[in-house]
Amino acid sequence: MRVTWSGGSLTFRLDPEDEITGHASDGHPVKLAINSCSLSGVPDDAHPDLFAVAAWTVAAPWTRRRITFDRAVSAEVAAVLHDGWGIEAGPVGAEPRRAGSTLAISYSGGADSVAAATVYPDAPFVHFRRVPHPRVPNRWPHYRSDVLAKLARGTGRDLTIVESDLEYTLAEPRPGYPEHQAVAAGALLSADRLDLGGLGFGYEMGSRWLGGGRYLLRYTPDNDLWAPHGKWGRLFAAVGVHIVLPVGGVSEAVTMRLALGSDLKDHVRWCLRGTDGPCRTCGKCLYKELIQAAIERRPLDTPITADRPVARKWMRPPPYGGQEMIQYGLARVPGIENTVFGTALTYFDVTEESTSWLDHCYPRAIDEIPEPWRAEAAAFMAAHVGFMTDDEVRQVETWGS
Amino acid sequence: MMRVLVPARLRQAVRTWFDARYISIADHRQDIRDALWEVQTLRREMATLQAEVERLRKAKPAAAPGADRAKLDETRRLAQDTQRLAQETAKAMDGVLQNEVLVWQAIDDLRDRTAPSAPSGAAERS
Repeated sequence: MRVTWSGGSLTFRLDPEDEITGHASDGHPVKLAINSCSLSGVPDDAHPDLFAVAAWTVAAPWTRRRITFDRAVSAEVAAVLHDGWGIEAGPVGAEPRRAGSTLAISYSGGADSVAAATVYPDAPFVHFRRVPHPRVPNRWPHYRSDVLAKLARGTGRDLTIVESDLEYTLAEPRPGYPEHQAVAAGALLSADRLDLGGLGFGYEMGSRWLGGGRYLLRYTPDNDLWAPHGKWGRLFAAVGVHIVLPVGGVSEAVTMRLALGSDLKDHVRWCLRGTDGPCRTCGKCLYKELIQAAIERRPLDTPITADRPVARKWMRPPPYGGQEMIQYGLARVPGIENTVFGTALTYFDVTEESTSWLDHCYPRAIDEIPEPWRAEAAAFMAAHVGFMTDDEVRQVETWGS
Repeated sequence: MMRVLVPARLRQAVRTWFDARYISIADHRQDIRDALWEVQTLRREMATLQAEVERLRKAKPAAAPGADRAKLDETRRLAQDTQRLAQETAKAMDGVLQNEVLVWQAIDDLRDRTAPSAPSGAAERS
């Protein structure tokens, strides 16, 4: 792979061994749509390592053996790429970037990132906003990134919005971040300007420790995507922007409770489609409604019926993405047996007691927050959430086994 | 045939009684005149209605619902065609963009091969 930056515009050319179909760090096969993208509103004089890592968040899936940057990178960055990915990176010759002192939050406006923001009430936000790619037909106009950006502006926090079309480099499965870390590409390029030493993400316990979402469904202490000692964690640390997961120790039930109880509650939006509010009809709205009904201890309130395509996955047996939260909801929502989750209920034997570990904070998640920001997160969790007992910790560490 | 002589007064009385059972000629005339007027009125109405039917029949294909449907069908056909074309174009564009990536890959490869002494990129990290 050969990478060229021109201001905020990135072009990457495939080496002979590279191919159109690659693999993201979570193992998902991804197809390249186009080899250029751009980020607007970013400085063009960032540290070369920042340009390199920002490019890597986009080009990594399609890089097989080596990557050539258009400016020399530090030996540290090259070493992580070599040890973590088996990639030869060069040219080498820059001094490494020193970590700044500021922690910013990579803010999407969803419940998880609002919860992360609540942990650090003074942290500035960096918001990634999707814009169309000038050369790729936009077949996904329902994605209301304008609404999300407006909500982010409404929070009143110090906010940097980075507009980018980098998601359109992905042809299949659909436009999106080539690597999950690509959401941080703009924050990385702005790191010198913002004096960043850490970047907080809304990834919660399911994503960090339970192999959540589309991944593994097992305990993942060495999660390559988000663990500080995983390859991405080491790469970000090498450019002085540590990955910080303020809510990495709590479930989505807790992040939602924190978000809806925070000062930012009027700006929370986990739905990408709705304009005046969540659309209530997409799969994500259904999943989040289950969690919200569970924490508010009320019946499910959704217009989605069992014959709708978004309800189809709940007609099938597990495993489900976010299965711990499904169990949490099944155990708590009154009348759940008469909803679209009725089938899922037959596969689990869950009670409030057996899922109550999801109401507390997994302590190791706080331990791995870098020192400058650890105490504030620990104090917040002690005050607003409470830490897990040893038995509850065991629930996390035996998950999926 | 037998003729019977009937007194004039009786004959008059019988005839009067008999005539009383029937409508007078004058009345008949009036009735016929009325009927005729009625028929003519109906004929006029009939002609008006026929003209109206004719008018509606002529108007129908030109403007009313049929025309709307035809217009709708045409719009729908156009929309479907446009959507198909858009999808096919987008799909073709995907191929063009991917090919462009591959073409540049081939060009870079050729350039490296024709200039073997030139540095070939990344691997000179020591």
